[in-house]
Amino acid sequence: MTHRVGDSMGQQGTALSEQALLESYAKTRSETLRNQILEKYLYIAEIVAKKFVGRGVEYDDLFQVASLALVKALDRFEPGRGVKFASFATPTLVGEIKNYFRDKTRMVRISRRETEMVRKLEEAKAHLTTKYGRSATPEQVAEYMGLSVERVLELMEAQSAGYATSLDSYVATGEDSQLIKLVGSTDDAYEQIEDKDFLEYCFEHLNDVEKKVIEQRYGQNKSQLEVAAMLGVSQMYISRIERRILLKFRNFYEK
Amino acid sequence: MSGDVIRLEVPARPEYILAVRLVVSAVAERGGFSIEDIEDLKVASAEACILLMDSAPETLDIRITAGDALSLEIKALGQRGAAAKTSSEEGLSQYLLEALVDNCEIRQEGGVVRSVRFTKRP
Repeated sequence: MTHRVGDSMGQQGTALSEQALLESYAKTRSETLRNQILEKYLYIAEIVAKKFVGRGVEYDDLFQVASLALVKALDRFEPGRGVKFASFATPTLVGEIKNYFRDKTRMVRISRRETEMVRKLEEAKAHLTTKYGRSATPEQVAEYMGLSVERVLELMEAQSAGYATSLDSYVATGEDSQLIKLVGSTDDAYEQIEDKDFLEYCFEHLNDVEKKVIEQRYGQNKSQLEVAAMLGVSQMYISRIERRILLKFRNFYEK
Repeated sequence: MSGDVIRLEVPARPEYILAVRLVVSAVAERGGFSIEDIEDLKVASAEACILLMDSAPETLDIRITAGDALSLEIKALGQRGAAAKTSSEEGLSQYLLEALVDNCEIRQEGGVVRSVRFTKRP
């Protein structure tokens, strides 16, 4: 039998208002409410993130992941099922953090056996360096460890695979050879110019109401309902106008 | 190591949680758990201790059973002072435990947690 300790504790007053907040958010999905609720529960992300410190990921990153998971949990939460939000959210947070560990470590995972071998390689290198008075060659290390040269080189590779290469690192000697400068990327500025040009062209062919709807809906981020009220028409009407505009845009685009 | 039992009794004070975590991790390592699972077991053991310390016991009696799965049973023994009125960390310890181990039983006596039992399979 499991007793839920947390449920019987805490102040009744705040518990009620939190419940009310969650219920009205579930109905309205209002962003203001969402922010308010998240602020109240951010401490969960903080506590859970702290529990996972010391596993090779910085606290700040963990807190970030946990906070995002909190948003996800809130969006999925159904109040009125008799489950406390903290109880519902915690497994989601833990799950997301563990996924993060898995994804992050997959990039840099070295098997335990490999780790052990890398450690032996280090020892061998140190020993041989002392013995010969200079840095040992892979052949010397291979002979000493009873491995093939190929295997030694593999291990040396594994040794550095555990670290991500910095984009600021220099790939060659010379001033301008930071890795970041050599990594190519698509320049999307051209596409932006084309898009802007197209939009301007389309805009010239809209009537005043249509322009207003676009401005308010996408410029000011107003809802269809808000724009309808502003223009003194029904929300259905705005929806129809939007469909019409979309059709116009599509016709222009196909031309 | 099927059915091996490891017992440990520590003063119910936060500074001994580390000792519990270390013993649990050493036993789990013998049981073939992955590094991630061992970390989870360490967090779960610590959370169980935190939960039990709310009842202000003298000592914690820890019994680890290592078989196909690893089971932990931690009991609060004696009474050092008054039990905490509200659970520390808003009761999150319990939710964390439930998220990290396969099954978990939390027993209360007189409104405070006095024993925690959980199991985790590798």
